[in-house]
Amino acid sequence: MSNLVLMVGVFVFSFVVGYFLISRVPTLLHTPLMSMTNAISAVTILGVLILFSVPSTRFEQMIGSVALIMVTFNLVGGFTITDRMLRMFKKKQEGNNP
Amino acid sequence: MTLVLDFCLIGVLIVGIWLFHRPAEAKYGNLTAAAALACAMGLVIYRYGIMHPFVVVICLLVGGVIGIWVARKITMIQIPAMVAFQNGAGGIAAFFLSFVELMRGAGQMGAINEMSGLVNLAVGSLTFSGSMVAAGKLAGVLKQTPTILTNHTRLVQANLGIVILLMLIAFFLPGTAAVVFYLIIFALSIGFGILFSMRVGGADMPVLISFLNATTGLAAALCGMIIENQLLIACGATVAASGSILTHMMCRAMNRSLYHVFIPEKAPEKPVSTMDELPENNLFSTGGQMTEPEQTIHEEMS
Repeated sequence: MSNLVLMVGVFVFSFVVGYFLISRVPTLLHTPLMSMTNAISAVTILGVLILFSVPSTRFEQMIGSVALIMVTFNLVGGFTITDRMLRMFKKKQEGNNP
Repeated sequence: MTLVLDFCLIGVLIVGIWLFHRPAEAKYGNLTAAAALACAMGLVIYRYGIMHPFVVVICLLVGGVIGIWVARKITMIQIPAMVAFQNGAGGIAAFFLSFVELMRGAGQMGAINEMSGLVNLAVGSLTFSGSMVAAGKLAGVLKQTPTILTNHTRLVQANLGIVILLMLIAFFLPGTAAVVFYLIIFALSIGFGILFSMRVGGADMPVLISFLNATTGLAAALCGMIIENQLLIACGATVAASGSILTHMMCRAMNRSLYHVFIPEKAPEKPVSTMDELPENNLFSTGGQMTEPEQTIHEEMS
């Protein structure tokens, strides 16, 4: 039960914080921000790691490893793509302002 | 003490998002968030330990190498499709996680844990199929115009209703007999995701991806509820919140209402149907719409 209360509390808190944070992000950064939140949403990886923290059957290990590969792909790929997008912008900016 | 550490990590994550309010600092924001997640992973491994280190390391390496390789290799135009695809990968992982946890804890889970697991089965799989449809549309594999079936809204509602009903049945069913229901929920939610995203198209695609992003965040938060991990709940809730606010902001920037993006009243007529008549090399035109703002940015910045 305490988890439900915590979750609702955290949810409301992050909504308020998120609103103030994101309403200040300029429209031009919406796409990279979306890509970064996509990468952050791979926090599921914490859950998948915890899945491996108790003795498990072969079947569970199989499903777990598929999940782990998928979520690592999301996590690492997400941050790499965001980095690429932001880097591209920076180069242009420097190029234009010598 | 554990909570203090967790909230420090959330704080770092929030700093990462905050850095996004200025283009020049956005890069560091991205790195900050990545570092926060890496620390969170280290913390979880330290706290819980790993039973099968070999499997875990192999999987991390495979996923990571493929992730970096693909992210480096794709062209700029393919980025939106790739983001959608990655989002789908996160969604299916959330589904697998709740499936394993539900099977493992059959009959001995707390009511809230089990309910979040069941909801997460649906959220994870609909995120997966929805993102795959979005990725297919953006990559030009599927038709980019909205596809609207007859009685589409009613179909979506019926699908959702059946999924909720099945969840309730599976919730009250004792023991392992519910596994069949888990699989039916999975299949129906896959259908729901497809039905939901097939009627969004054209310039509304970024909004759809942002929305699906928010649902992945929700899925992560629900994963946290199942295994009772506060860090996961908090990170997931932050993503869900920022994702849904971003969806709202994007709609507002385009002067569209969220309702009309997801529930178009009728099949769009002339303006969109001309998209079909464009030559082959314009298949990526939707991707172009996503990168377009960035080009104006460079002009603004110069």
